[in-house]
Amino acid sequence: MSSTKPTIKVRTKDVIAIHWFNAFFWLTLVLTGFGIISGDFVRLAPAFWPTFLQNLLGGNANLVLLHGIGGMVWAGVIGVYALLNFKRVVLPFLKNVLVLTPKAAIADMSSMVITLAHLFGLLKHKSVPPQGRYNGAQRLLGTMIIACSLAIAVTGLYLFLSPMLLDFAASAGVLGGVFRWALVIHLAAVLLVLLGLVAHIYFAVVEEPESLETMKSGEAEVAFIKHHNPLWYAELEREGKV
Amino acid sequence: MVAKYVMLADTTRCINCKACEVACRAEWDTPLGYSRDWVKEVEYVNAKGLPEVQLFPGRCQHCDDPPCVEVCPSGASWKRDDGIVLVDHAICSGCELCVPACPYDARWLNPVTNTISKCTFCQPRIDKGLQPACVDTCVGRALIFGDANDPNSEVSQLLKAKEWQKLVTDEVNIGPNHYYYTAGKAIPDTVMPKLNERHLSGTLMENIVNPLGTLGIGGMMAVFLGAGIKKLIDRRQDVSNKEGSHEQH
Amino acid sequence: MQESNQSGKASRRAFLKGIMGTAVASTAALSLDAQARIHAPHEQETLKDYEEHWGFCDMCYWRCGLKVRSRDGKAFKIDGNPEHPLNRGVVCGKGNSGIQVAFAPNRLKQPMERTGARGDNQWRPMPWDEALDKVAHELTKVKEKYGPQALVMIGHGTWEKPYHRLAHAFGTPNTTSPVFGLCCGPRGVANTLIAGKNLTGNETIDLENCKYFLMMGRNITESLHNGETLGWIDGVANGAKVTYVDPRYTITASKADEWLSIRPLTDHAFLLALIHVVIKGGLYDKQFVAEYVTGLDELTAKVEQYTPEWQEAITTIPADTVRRIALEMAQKAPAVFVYSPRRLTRTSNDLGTGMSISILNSLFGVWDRKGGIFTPQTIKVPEIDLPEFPHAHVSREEGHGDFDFAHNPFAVDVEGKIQRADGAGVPGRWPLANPQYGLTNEMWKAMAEQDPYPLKALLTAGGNGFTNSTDYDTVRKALLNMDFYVAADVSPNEMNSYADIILPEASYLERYDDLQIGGAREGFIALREPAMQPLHDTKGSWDICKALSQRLGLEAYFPHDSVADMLDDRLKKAGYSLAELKEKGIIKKPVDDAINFPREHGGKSVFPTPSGKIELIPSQLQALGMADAIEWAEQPRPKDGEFHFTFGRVGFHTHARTQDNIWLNYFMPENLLWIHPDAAAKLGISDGETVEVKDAKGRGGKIAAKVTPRIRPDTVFTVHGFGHWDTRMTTAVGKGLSDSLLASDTREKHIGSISMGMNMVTVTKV
Repeated sequence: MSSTKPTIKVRTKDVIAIHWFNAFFWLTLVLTGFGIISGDFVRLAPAFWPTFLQNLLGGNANLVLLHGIGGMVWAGVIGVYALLNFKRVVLPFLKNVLVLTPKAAIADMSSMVITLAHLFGLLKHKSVPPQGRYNGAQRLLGTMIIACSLAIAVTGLYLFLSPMLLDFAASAGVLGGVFRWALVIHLAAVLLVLLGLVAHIYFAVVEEPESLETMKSGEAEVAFIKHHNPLWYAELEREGKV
Repeated sequence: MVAKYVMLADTTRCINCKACEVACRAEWDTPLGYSRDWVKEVEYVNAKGLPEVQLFPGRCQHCDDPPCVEVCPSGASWKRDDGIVLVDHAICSGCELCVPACPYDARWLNPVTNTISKCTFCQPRIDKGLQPACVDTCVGRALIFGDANDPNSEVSQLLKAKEWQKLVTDEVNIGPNHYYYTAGKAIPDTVMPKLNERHLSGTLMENIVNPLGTLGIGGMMAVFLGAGIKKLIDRRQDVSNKEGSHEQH
Repeated sequence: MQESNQSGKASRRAFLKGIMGTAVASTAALSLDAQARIHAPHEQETLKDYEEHWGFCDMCYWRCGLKVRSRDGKAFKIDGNPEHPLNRGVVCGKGNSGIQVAFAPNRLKQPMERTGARGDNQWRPMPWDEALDKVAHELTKVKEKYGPQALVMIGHGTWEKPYHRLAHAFGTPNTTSPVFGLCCGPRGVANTLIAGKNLTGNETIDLENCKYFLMMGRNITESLHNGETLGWIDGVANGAKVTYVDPRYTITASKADEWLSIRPLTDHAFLLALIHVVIKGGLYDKQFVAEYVTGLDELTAKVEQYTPEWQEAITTIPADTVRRIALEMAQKAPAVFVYSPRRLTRTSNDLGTGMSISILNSLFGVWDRKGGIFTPQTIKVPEIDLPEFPHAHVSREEGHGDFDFAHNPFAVDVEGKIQRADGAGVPGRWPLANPQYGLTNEMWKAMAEQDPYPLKALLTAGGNGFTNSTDYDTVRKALLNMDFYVAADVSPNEMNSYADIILPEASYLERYDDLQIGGAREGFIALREPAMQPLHDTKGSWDICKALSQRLGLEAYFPHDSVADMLDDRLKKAGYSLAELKEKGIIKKPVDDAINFPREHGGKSVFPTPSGKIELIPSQLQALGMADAIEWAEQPRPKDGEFHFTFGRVGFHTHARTQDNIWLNYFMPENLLWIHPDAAAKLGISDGETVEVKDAKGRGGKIAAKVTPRIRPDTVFTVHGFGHWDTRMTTAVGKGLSDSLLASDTREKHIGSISMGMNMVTVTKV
């Protein structure tokens, strides 16, 4: 059905690869992460999960090792990719996605609320303001994911390495305190991202399967862009790409 | 049947000679300034106006519901099937979340290993069929250790023969497996367990981040579930409307 | 198209169902599974391998049997030898801390020669040969100039024996150990005079079966000896009543049924009144007295005046209490025991106090009865063959070694022989004092005053004359008087800081020593063998003494090649061998009720007094003109604003020698001054505040106050052994106040032992 409609190439293969790399590692790291946290007071996953994973790997030390190495691969690959492709990929992406000013945040927020409301048949009289390449919700989510990912990477690195490398006892509780706060931040950041991912996955799968398709092929339907991202469409027109 | 290890302290036989503490220090090479066990000497004036002294040898109480296990993020703090609460030093990060969780103050960060140390009931010794070092050396034979699930053990016999008390209060009652005999004397408040102020970070995680996270993710799932269901219903109506219009045509 | 549409719809529907299912399931799981514990594999510690070596303890003088564990060639844990009758497998906090004697960083690690002034702690390390040559040279010089008696040897430890032998071989009678004159002397003398048995040493009491303990300040839980303390605890658990008599509420008091807060120095008055009640009320064991006891009539006359009312005015213990105790004890006799303090050096008449205790026990007929005093089993182990010693006071008996506390030949006088300088066992001086152990307090005075003859060389083996005695000035003067002072010791202390040469001893974990031969319910021989190679350039006392004997021409007294050979030789004479002793670390003669309690088995008691009976009025004392010893002698009392000064022990420090042990210092880095809340309120002192304690001579110092009702209002107390000033004692230096500064240094009037409890002090807020 989609093959009959005109499309344009909006994503390069490497960006698509990075997206799915990121998604795969998120899945693995969330699953292993929830397997590590063991105390009933501090745990989110039901006990069967950490029990299963820790038994599978012969103890939490191995699971921690797996999660830690996985985390470093995740952060390392994305970090190196971002450095190497800073001008070509990262900068345009950041320009499109980052919500930095309160005004932009408010605009994005309102468009997100309207979009969400429409799902439930509310605010039908209001139409979503014209959106660029990324809509308000996407921009907000993107900003949050970038911030949280940085926090997760930094705290994760500390959580993994500090017990091996640093002398907690000699620091009069300071390094241990940092560890405890890093744990809170690490977990809170993951939870925030997971919140957003629920929406991200819903839209990709239910509301706009076309986007999912685009994240596979790199091709987007021109009509879809014209409908959902009029500002971007205008931009593409100006650039003579459509 | 799995063993259930318990420690009995007959306070009438304790003389505060510190043999248990030094034996433990020597056995496990405890750094100076820390100890896995202790003897508390409590002096007070009794109802008759006379001085009185009671002695309470103590250590990790190897509780049935150990909060130190419940707060440990990594599972380094764990409880063996025979009741012994242990620290897995390969996992322990030394974050000290468990330290204030223990109402008996039995845990501390070991500056040599940078992991949490505590009484293990001398697990490596008892696994070899030996008694814990403190019990082995106890001058007054005030400390008695053994398997409460074995009806023939000395501890089982003693538990039946005498009135034993535990260090529990209305506020802290987490199933300690350390018993005390005081010949009927009340146990002074000063040796009773106290709830410590926990680390703010741990409390935040336990009481705010986790519930909010659960609620948030649950909420999001509920919202989009709702959206999905609505979409389904709308589509069905669409389809049936279309079908209806077909019939009209 | 239609189909694909439908399949698309179906997959979407399945997806939604999936989401719904996951959400429901996870919410349910989160709530249900919240309390579940993770069950996952964990790493567990395993016990690392070790070797075991036999020993006996050197942390105090009870000498518990040990099993020392070593790993990688280093001793790391001291366990009790379960076969040893003196501790039955248990080891106290001090015993456990022996590891830190060996591993102390401030140990004496190599021979050293003093390079600065005496006591200034400036040292030059030197090789062993040079040190030994120098010691031999200096001792020979003194011998040539003043005679062999100018050498004084003071020992204090479980390894002092070879030094006694060396000194005796050298020709001096002046060897001494504080155990008699500064500690147990008076009680041993009292028992020996009355019953012909000294009853000290291993405390031959049937503790487990005793039904009434009258503890005369015997703080058995803090001045503790493992086997004795455990036996007492068992006795109490078996239902013995405990009456504890002490100005202070100790941990022992906390185990007692009754605490009698007696006025210090007045135990004798309390005991005399008890004797009065027991005799007058006919509460004594009439059959035993008729068969075994002499002097009841004379004693009755003597105690006539000592009524319970009379003692009340002195001791502050109610008269009725005395009557009640006498009755209670009589009901439970002979399973009763009047328990003497271990150290009985307090008043001007400790002999009278000791005799009163011995008399009471005899009146209750406790000898050789269950729950009373038992006769020990012994194994005779002959000494090695040695030439005779050239002076009077070493009488070697079969099985009793070079010197013997039990053997007490009062007032030995052998013509042409040199008399002891401290007067111990010397007619006309201190004839009651044991000439084997001597009067260490009097020896220091003799050295300080160079009276009755010049004393110019000193050899010490362990000990600390400053802190175990009571007069720093005398000790200092004595040390400064020496032409030559050689100190053999493991650890630094104030006394050995005055030495010219320091010979570093191996710790008791790094060496063999002579056999431990003891008599309890079981007789035994125990072994000390090295648990590791010496950590430093040190030697054991036997090796040092043998090396010195070769340089002094006395090698005949150390005929064996090694101490292990010597042990094997001794053991073979007794029908055993070193190899046999190494099996369990101990060889025992089993408990035999018929020997331990002959009177329970139709046998007879034996009392080796001149009359062969219990002498309530000892004939030897009468012969010496000291029959008045049983009479009450007035004791000093504090004036207004003064306090009795008392000191004592805690369970985790031995005398003045463990304050620098890092494992023990941890429990009590410094001592406190115990003062009653009433007295403290009067002086405006609150708990924890610093006070200044001073005696009439102006001696004293600052100390923190412990305000507690556990002490009488007219008495202050502090734990013994603090206030060290030797800078080599890096952990203990400058901590707490020395009680030795404040204890009295007067003499017990019959024996010549020291009286440490006579001093009064004032306390002021700083």
